[in-house]
Amino acid sequence: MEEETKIMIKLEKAAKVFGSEAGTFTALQETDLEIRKGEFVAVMGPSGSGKSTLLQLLGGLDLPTTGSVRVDGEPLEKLSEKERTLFRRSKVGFVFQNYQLLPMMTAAENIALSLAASRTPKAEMERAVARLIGQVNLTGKEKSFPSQLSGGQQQRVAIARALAMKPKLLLADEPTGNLDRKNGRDVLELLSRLNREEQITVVMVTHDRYAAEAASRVVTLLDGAIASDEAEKAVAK
Amino acid sequence: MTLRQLAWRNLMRRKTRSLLTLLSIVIGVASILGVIASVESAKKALPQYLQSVFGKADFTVQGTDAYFRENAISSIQAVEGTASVAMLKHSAKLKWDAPGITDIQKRVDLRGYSDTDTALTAFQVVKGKLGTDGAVISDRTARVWGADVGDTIALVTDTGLREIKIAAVVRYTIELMGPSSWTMAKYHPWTVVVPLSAVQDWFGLAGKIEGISIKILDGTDPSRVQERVAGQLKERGEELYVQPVLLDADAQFKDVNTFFLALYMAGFLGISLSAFVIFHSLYVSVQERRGEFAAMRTIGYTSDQLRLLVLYEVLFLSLIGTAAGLLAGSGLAAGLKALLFLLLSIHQEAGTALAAGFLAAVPAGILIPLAASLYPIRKAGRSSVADELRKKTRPVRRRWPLIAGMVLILSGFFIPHLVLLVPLLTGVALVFPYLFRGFVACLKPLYRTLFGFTGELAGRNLSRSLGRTSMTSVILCLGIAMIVLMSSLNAALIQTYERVIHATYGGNLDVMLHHIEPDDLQLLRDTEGVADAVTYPLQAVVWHLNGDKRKLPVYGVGEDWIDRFPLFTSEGSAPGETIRRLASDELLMDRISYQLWGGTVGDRILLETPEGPRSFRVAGVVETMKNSGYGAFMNKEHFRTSFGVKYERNALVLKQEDYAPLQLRENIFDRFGARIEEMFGPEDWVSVISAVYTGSFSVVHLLIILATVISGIGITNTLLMNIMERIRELGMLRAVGVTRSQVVRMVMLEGMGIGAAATLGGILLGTLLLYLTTRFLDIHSLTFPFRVSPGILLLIALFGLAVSLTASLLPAARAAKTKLGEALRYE
Ligand SMILES: Nc1ncnc2c1ncn2[C@@H]1O[C@H](COP(=O)(O)OP(=O)(O)OP(=O)(O)O)[C@@H](O)[C@H]1O
Ligand SMILES: [Mg+2]
Repeated sequence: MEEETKIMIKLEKAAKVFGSEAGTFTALQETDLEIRKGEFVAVMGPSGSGKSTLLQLLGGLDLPTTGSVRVDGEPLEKLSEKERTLFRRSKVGFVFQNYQLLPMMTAAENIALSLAASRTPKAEMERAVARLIGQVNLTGKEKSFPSQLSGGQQQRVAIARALAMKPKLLLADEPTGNLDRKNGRDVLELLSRLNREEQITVVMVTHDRYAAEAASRVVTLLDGAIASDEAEKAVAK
Repeated sequence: MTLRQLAWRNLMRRKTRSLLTLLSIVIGVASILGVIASVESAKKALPQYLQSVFGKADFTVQGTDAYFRENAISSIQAVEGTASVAMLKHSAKLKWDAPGITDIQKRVDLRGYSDTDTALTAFQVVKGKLGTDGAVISDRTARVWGADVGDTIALVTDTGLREIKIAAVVRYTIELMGPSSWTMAKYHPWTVVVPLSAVQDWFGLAGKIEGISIKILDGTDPSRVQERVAGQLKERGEELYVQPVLLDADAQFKDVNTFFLALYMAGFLGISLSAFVIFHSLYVSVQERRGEFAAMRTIGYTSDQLRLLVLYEVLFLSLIGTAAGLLAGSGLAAGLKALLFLLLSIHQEAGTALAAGFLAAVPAGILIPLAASLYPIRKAGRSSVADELRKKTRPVRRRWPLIAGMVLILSGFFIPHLVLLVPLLTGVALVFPYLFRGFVACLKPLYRTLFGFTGELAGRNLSRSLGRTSMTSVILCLGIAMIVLMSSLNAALIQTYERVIHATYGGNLDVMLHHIEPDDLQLLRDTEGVADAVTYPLQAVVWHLNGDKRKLPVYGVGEDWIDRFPLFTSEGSAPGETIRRLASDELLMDRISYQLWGGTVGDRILLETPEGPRSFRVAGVVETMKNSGYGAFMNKEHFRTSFGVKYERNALVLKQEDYAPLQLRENIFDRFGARIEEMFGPEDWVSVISAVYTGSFSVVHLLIILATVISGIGITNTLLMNIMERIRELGMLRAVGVTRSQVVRMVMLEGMGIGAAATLGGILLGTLLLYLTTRFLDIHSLTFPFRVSPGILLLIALFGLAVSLTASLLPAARAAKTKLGEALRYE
C-alpha cells in the first residue's frame, strides 16, 4: 500500500494500435512501466519508435487500445472525456518541442491559460503569473508577445504555462529539440530544478544523449517496445 | 513524377482541405444555378401570377345591357385557338342553420359557368370531377364548411330553396374567392361555381348570360383572335364588344419593371456572393500554402512549375466541383422553382429552364477558382524564399481600397436609380475590412466581460486572420442589407397603399346594389351606424386609344358631396371645386390612365357613348386608389347626359365614428339582403393589395434569403479553415486543460462575432439603402416615406445571428472532435 502511493505512473499491458485504410500499425506494443513520484525519466529512441505516442498516453491525450494507464492512482481509460481534461488541467503539465504558444497573447497571458480556463480569480491569477515568471527567469518579459521572444524564452514561457496549475507530473516532448545548446541547457536546468525542488515528476522525450543526462532514468524505445530501462550514472554519483 | 500526378497527390494528401474547397465550389456553382433558375422562373411566373389575380381570361365579351343572349357563345367557340366560357352571376343566401351565424355570413356569389372544365377556368381538382352538373367549391371553403364531394349545398334563391351537390373541390383561386373562416365571412361572400343553367333557372334568367371570357390558347395570335371575335359579334348584330383583359392588369402593374429590377438585383447579389465564396476559399487555400511553395522553390522548382502545379490542383478541384455543383444545382433549381410557384400559387408543369444557369455556372465554377488561385501564387513566386520560410508576414495596410470604397459609396448618393446598389455594395465590400477591425476592437472587451475566458480567446482569434474573416463577414452583411431594403420597401409599399386607399375610397364602405331605387338612399341613411351616404354612377366606358379599344371606368361625381366622400385628391383646389369647374365635355384622369394614354392635360380622348364616339378634354390629373387607381372622373350631371345612364348602382357610406365596421356591414345587409351585389371597404382593398405585393416580393425575399444562406456557408468555410490552420493550437489548448465545451464555445463565439459584425453592418447599410431609394423610387405613382420598422430590424437581426449560429455549429463540432494526439502531431 505504501508502495502504491509512491507510484506516479503505472502502465499495465498498455498498447496503442493505429488503424487506417492502409491497415493497422502498432505504435506501442504491450508495455508495462512504472514511474515513481519524483523521478526524472528521459525517453529515448529512434524516430518513429513510439516516444510521442507513449507520452500522449501518459497525459491522457490519447487512450491505449488495450491495457491500462494509471496516473497518480487514476485509471485514465475509465475517465470520461471531461474528467480527463480536468485531470490534465490539475495534474499534468505539457511542454512541446515547438512551444505552442498562442501568438496573439502575451507571455503572461500564455502562462495564465490554464488558470483562465479554470476561472481563477483575477488577483490570484496575477499573483501566480508573477511567481511563475520569476521561476522561469523571465521577469520583464510579461508583456512580450511570442514573436518578440527567443526560442529559449518561448520554451520557458511554455514551461511556466505547464506549471501554472502546480501539476505533479510534467510531460515534455523534445523540449530542447528546437533550441541551441546554451538555451537547451537552461531549459534542462529548469526542469531538473523543478524536479528537485518541487518534487515534480518529469517525463521527457529527447533525441539528445546530452539532454538525457539530466534525467535520473533513461527508458529507450525501439519499434514500440521498451528496449532498455536504466538508471543514469549521473544520479548514482 | 509529373506535375499533374504531384497535383493529384497533393489533393489526396490533404483530404479535408480539398473537400472543403471542393464543397465551396459545389455550393457556389449550385447556388448560381439556383439563383438564375429562380429569376427565370419568376420572370415566367409573375405575369401569370398577376393575371391569375386579375383574371385568367385574355378577352371578355360584354354587352351594353346587363344581360345578352346565351347563344353568342357558340359564335365565339367557332373561333379557333381559343377557350371560352359564358358566365352569369347572381347572389344568393346559404341555408345554414347554426347558432351565431348571421345572414351576412351566409352570402354566396353564385357563378354560373357554361363549362367548368376548360383551359380558361383551369381549376386544379383536389377531389371529385369537373364538367358535371354539380357545384365546384374551393378547398378553403370546403374546409370551413366541413363539406366534401357528394355533400349538398342548400341555397335560398328568388324562386325558393334550391339544392345542388358538390361535384368537385378545387384549389383556391381568385374566381373562387371566399372567406377563410366564418368570421371573415362578415367581410366577403362565399363563391360557388355552378352550371350556367342552374343560375338561369333559379333566377328566372333563361337563355341569358352577362359575359363571355375568352382565353387564347398557346400559339395563337391575340390580335387575330380579337379581330375574328369582333367579326363574329358584328355578324350577330347585337350590341356586344370584345376587349382585352390583360391591358388592365398591365395598368395595375405598370411598375412590374421596377419589380423585375429588384429581382435582378437580388439575383445579382446571389450570384456575386456565390462567386465570392468560391473565390475566397480558393484564395485562402492557396495563400496559406505560400510557405510550402517557398520550400519547394528551395529544392529547385521554378515559379512557373509551381504555378502549373497549383493550376492543375485547382483545375482538378474545379472540374469535379463544377460537375457536382451542376448536379446539386439542378436539384436546387427545381426545388426553388417549385417553392416559388407554391408561394405564388401558380401551377405549371413545364420543366426548369437550366440553359442560362449552366451558361453562367460553368464558367464561374472553373474560371473563378483559377483566377482566385493565380493571384496568391504569383505573389508567392515573387517574394523571396527566405521571407516566406521565416513566415514573418507583416500585414501590409494599403490605403487604396479604403479610398476607392469611399468614392463608390459616395457615388451611390447621386444615382437616382436602383442600380446604385452596384457601386454602393462594391464600395462597402472594399471599406468593410477597416470597419471590421474597429468592430472587433469594440467586441473584444464585450466578449471578455460576457463570456470570460472563451470570449477572450474568441475575440483575439477574430483579430488574427482579419482579412479572411472580414471578407466572410461582408458577404453576410450585403445579404442582410438587401433583406432590410426589400422587406422595408415591401412594408412601406403596403403602408403607403393603405394610407392612399383610405384617403381616396370615398368613405368607409362602397355598397353595390343590383340597382338603386329612389328610396334606397334614404333607407341607407337611416340604417344604424350610417353617418351619411350618397350614390354615384359608374360606367366602364370603351376608350379608343391608338386604334385599340379598352375600358375606362368613368365615375359620375357630385360636386356637393365629393369633399365629404373623397374619391381622389387633386392638386391646387379641393375635389369639389375641381369638379365644379369641369365643363360638360371635360373629365379628370387618374395618374395611371393618364400615363397609359401618354397625352397631356388639355388634349382630348375618344370615348364611346350611346351616340357614338365622342371626344372629351382631359382637364386635369388626380390621385386615386379607387378601383386600384385606374379611372376617370366627371361631373355627375355631365356624366348623365353624356352616357345616358339611367340608374346608379353604387352607394358610398360614411360610418358613424366609433361604430364597429363589421356591425355596419351587418346592418346594411339586414336592410338590403340579397339585393347587395358587393360590399367593399378600404380595408378589403388593402388586404388584396398587400397580398399581391407580398406575393410578388416573396420571390425577391426568397432569392435574398438564399444569398444569405450562401453567406452562412461562407462563415462555415472560414471557421473550418481557421480550425484546420490552428489545429495544433487546439490540441495544445485541450492538452493544457481547456475543456471540449470551452473549445466549442470559443468557435461559436468566433462565428457569432463574424455574424454580429455582418448583422450590424447589414442593418446600417440596409437603412442607408432604404433612405437612398425612398428618395427617388416611385411605384404606382406613389412615393414612399423613409421609415424603418424596429420590429422588422429586430427580426432581421435575429435572422442574421441565427444564420451565423447555424453556420458555426459544424465547425464547433469539428473542433470538439479533434483527436488530440493527431492534432499535436499535425504537419
Ligand atoms: N494517427 C496515426 N495513425 C497511424 N500511425 C500513426 C499515427 N500516429 C503515429 N503513428 C505512427 O506511430 C509510430 C510512432 O509515432 P511517434 O510519433 O510516437 O514516434 P516518435 O518516437 O515520437 O518519433 P519522432 O522521434 O520522430 O517524434 C510512427 O511510425 C507513426 O507513423
Ligand atoms: Mg515524437
